[in-house]
Amino acid sequence: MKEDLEKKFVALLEANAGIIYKVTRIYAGSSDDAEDLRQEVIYQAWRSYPRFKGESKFSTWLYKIALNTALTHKAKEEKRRSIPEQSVISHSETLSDSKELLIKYIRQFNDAEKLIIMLHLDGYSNDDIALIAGISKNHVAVKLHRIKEKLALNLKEKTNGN
Amino acid sequence: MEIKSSWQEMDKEENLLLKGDIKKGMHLKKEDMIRKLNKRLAWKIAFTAIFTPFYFLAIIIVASLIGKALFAFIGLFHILGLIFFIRQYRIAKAFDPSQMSVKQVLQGYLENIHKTVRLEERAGLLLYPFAGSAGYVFSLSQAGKMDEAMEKPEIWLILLVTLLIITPLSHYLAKWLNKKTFKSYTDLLEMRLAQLDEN
Repeated sequence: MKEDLEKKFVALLEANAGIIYKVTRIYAGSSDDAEDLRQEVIYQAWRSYPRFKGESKFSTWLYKIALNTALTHKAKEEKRRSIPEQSVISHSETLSDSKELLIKYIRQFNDAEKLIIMLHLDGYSNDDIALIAGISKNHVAVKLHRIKEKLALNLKEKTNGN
Repeated sequence: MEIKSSWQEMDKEENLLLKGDIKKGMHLKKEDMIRKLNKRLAWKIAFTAIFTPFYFLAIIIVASLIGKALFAFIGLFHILGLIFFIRQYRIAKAFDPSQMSVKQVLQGYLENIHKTVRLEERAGLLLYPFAGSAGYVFSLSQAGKMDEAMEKPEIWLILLVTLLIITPLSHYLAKWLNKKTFKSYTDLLEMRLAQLDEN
């Protein structure tokens, strides 16, 4: 019984690996921290899994856990200070330049803005984002507008730089 | 660059999460700040539950009436503390981040830390003078010097001065230790909460 549950959970996590990957790439301060955060997300998801009744999609449920974990996670100070952003290593080292650049730009936002833009880029509506973040829909819209402006500006600067 | 498609295409990359990592995470031994706090609370519950009967035993052993009264107070105080600790522990354990918004989780974590730490500090502040007095009276009683002590005010003056020094010192030491352990973490949670709320 427990084995079946474990197998099902592992399969679901493998199918939604992108969520954990993106949350850790965006929020972790170093490669060690990314490893810590990834394991903490998996631990929290596994702990909560028996209570998952399928009322929402598994991906939404996992996203919520991953973001809740990332925002309550504290990196070890010395690691956060000493290791630059570029060294946040992933299993997949083959991301194209445009994806790496996108990750780099999103990492520059504050923790609340990161959450909003990530969910938006993954196709969540403002209503869903408001529900996950715990803030009003209008608030999400205002923040999202500002984030998009900043992101567009960064990309424009990059284009002009080339 | 098509931002949305670039972002969503990342999901299709291979080896984003290895099976070994999943297994490792599922059986994670390392504890985050909240699990450490809850574990500390669990230890406190166990410690209080084990030692409370000894205070009631001391009521029988100690001969003086003052000693009996002090140990009775400490015993009752421990029972009350035990009830509060168990209540706080149950609230903390029932907390389920998967059913809550990020804002609720941040607020819940902060509340858990503040409540638990405040409970410990206040319990300590009330208990130090009584525990100190009880220990002192117990020592006098065991040494058979209780009658002598009743006639010498300086013996009680020593106790009073000691308590006046030890109580605030222990209280501030506990506060300092808690601040050292949790302050940077609660600051981080508060900062993230403010980021969510800011316009």
